[in-house]
Amino acid sequence: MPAGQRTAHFFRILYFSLFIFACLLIFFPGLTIDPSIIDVSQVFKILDYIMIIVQLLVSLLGTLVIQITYSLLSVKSRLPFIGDLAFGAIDGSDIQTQISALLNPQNNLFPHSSIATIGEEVITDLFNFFGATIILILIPIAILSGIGFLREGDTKLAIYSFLGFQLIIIIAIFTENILISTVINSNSLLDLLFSPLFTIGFLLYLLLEIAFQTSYTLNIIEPMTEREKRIQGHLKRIRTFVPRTEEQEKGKEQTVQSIQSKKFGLLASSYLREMVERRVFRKGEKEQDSKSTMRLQSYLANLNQSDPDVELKLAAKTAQPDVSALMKHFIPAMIFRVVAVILFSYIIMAPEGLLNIFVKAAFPALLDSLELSQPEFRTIAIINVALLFILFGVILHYLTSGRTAKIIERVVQQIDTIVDFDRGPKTPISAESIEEGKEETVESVQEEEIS
Amino acid sequence: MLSSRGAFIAIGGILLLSVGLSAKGIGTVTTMIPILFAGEGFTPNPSENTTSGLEWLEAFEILNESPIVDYGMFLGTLLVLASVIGLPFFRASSNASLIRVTRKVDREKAFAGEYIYVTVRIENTGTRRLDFLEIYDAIPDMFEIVLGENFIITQLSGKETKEFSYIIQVSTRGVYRIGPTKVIIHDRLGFYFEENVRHFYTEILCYPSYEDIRRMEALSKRRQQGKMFGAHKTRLKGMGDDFHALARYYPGAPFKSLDWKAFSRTGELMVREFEAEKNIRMVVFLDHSGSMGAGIPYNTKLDFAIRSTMLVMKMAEERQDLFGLITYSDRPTSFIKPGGGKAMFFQLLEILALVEPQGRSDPLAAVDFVMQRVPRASFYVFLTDLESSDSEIFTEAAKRARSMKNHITVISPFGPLFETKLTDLTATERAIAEAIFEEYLGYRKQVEDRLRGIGVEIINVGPDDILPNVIKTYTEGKKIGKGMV
Repeated sequence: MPAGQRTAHFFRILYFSLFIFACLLIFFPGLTIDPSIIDVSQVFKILDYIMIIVQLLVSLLGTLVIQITYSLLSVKSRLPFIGDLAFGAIDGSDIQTQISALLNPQNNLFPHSSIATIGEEVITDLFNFFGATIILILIPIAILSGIGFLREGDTKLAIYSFLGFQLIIIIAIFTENILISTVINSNSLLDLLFSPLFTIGFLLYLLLEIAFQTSYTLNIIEPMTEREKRIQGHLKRIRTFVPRTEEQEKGKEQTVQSIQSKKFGLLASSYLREMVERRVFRKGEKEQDSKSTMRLQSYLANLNQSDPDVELKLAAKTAQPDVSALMKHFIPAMIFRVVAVILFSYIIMAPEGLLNIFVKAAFPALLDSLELSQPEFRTIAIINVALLFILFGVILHYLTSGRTAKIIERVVQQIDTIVDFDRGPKTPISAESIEEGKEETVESVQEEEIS
Repeated sequence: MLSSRGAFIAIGGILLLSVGLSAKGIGTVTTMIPILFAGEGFTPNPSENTTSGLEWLEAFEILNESPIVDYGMFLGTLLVLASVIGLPFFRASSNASLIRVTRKVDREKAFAGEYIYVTVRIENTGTRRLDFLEIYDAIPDMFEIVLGENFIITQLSGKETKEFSYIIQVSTRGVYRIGPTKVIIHDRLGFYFEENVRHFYTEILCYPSYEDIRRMEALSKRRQQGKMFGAHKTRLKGMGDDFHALARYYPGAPFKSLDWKAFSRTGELMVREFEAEKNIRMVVFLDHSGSMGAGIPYNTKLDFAIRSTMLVMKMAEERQDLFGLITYSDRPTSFIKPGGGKAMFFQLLEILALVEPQGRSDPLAAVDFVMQRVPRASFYVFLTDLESSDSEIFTEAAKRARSMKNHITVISPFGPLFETKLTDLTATERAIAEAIFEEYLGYRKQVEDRLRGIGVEIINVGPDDILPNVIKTYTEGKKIGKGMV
């Protein structure tokens, strides 16, 4: 197995292990989420409410019918020979009576024990219903997307998986079905790290980060490895291509036709003749293909003579990414990122420590402010930190692009010119040499721009 | 700068922050509404009846103290940070302008159907490592990649150089440009990218296909091996070296031509006659007006006319005849004076490679142009569909050319034959096509009648017989000695 593929497999296994660990941590009964949240019966409980709504509607309609019937009866009483029997037995009860009958706790239709707790129970039922429904939808999304990522290497799937898991946790918190402590303690960095909710959230983030690294490996190594294999295959086919002679083709076709004709009779032979004719028409194309392949074969042979690396370059083997370098840079880069993210998160979540150092002297009142612990402050802090990173990026790009060096160079040149001007020309300069000088300057600027 | 993946993570983070803030916000609203309505803060009183009108709000109060606020804020912070934390490092290391891309082709001129080997060289002139680099070398639609790929995804260390190649096949004549090249640098996680398009091009001049000539050469080889019969030689008598025939002696015949062996055999005085070393001067008038571009793509009337011109020019070059070319539409666009030799043949190929169908046709201007530059009698072969010019103009052009004793043959691609195949049409379409055919033929008949009167031969051709007819016109002309030098 090539080194590239081995590396890709390594990252896949890494992702898979962490994925399984996350799944176990979240779904294993009694660890993080209360298994009662994944209760299918909660989904069907909503049917009771639908039934009540339907019955209320029916009662309402019944009342309307009664009212209309009464009106009709009042008309009927003035008409001769039509008695009450014509309308059957009419229950004269009103809608209030019907609703109270429906909401009666003794009634089997109503799922609650008493009228007094109806508000809480309805809300609880709705919470449970939405929680169970959403989680039942999210679980397959989270798991199947993760598995899909392992198969396809598409980062979108890893993101779906990540979002799925996170939403499951959020729903579990929302419906109070979470078994771990939900307090994210940011008193110290260690407290933060050992907060169970932080640990789970961070583990899922780590899974996403590894997914991105895996995707990078898959995107950069696998296509190149496959490309190399594919093109090597093409090259081999071209190298070993031997055109069939006309006699070989002809002999083969005739044999087939004669045998088949004897075997299947007239109808079959006419069919076969048609097929043979079609083949004859296609023969032109085949001949053309064979010719172009032969031409390509000789062209490649000529290229090989002038450049022995032709095949390597065609298969892009000379441009293959360095797997060892990839592995060498992966772990430090990953550790660095993760540590940086944790540190900055901590600073934003618990800014008091940092403010104590930098701001205390100037604005002592700020540290006493209650607003520091509010989410609004964190939001402002994260916006500022993000903008600072962007600003650093812009500055660093500007510094490394070499523009500053060019500007300095130009300034130095200008200063030199001024100095030369002050000194005055020692020898008279001809118009031609001035022109030449101008041209040279223009050319060099163009070169700089091009480079 | 921020890729879709990075943007997705950043927006996800912002959304989660919003969830945290909203969760907090809902709590705030629930505490504020009672204040607004009752004029005092909402203070749940245990002695109060639990079925009060504000009780429903308590259901949402759960959010005010919910860990969702904290968790949303924490996750949002994590994702926003994750999306920006690598940016300074990426911006510091990835500078697309520090990547030098060069392209090399093994030839800049090729015949249609031939291969071109393209090598792209990427050099990181900077010192920092690029983790994820994509290079795309754009090729024209007319080119087909037969081997290799025109892009690469790789990494590049500081000062490192990498190369990749691909082979393309040129399908039709013309001038094409390979390029530009797109350089995309990503970070390792694919959150950021920098794109840069290098507008440098490699121009490829593609001559018309050499396939017909190659086939002809293969045939002539067979002929040399005795597999083919019917060598086309000029049968005119003259002062050449090749023996032609024996003839009866006539007074005044040079004594050195007497064949004494024949005299002894037959008892009659016989003289040896030799074949004349004849060369003709031929000028091909290639009409490239707009109507010549009609037909199936890459097999238009003009394409066939070009193939025919190439073939006949190659034959003329081999037979050491003088051949010239003028291409014209509403004015003469290029001209090669009748001459010979391989260099001239390649000049001609360049002209043919660049010819495009455009404008109307003015054969009179073309004839005047040639007659001014080639005053001697020549063999004019017109390749025109006679559709973009008035018949009067063509007649006038032919008259002028004939007045200077030039021989004229018009090989005229018949439009409908290039545009449709009768067998492919339905009955109705066929009826319409036949009506159009009739109309075309009627018009042609008029032109033909008018031109025949002044000694101009017109040959109507379709895609199947244009090449043989052009060759035949040339060989017949040579036999008769049209435009003899």
